[in-house]
Amino acid sequence: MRSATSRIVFIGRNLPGKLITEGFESCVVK
Amino acid sequence: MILINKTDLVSSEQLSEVEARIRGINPYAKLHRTERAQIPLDAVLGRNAFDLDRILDLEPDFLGADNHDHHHDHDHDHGHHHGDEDNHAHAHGGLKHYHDEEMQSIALRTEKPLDPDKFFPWVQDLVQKEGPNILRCKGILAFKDDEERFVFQGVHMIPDGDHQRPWKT
Repeated sequence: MRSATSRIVFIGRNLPGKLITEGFESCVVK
Repeated sequence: MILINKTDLVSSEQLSEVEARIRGINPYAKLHRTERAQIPLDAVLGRNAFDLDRILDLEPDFLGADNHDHHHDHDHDHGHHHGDEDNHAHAHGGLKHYHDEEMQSIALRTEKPLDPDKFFPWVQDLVQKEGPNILRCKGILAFKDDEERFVFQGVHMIPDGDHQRPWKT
């Protein structure tokens, strides 16, 4: 079984944390 | 420790400006100016640069409740804030201090595969709308039915990425 953990980091100013977090979660295969 | 690279591509005034902004975020870190990332390894390795007392002096809440994991498997870390202060720069001894920095990082992680048909439209839309605020984004992603790591990176409104190598088993 592959060890596959997706990781992504955003760096910036005034980042919309909720928008990014929820958007990323919506891309996860259910 | 902070490396300011590609210093040969900017003027000394621009370089000083960048250093001042970095100093506004972290006044203690050792700064190195580099060109083509050239620096002796003994200048960056084994320096014992992590000093908890110094961090607590800078960020009294460093070990507090604000540094936590939430949202299932995802980490969400906030960076340095000066949100309550005016957006301006002023000089102390010739060194400008900036209080308009709202630098943040948001790190996300999931053990579940991602759907590329959802991820790419989402990230495209995100960087189109928030691109000016997103200085960098980088990631290593696992898509469904894809045995290779996908390395993603973006600068402002330009996302990019490519397959790299298979995931380790």
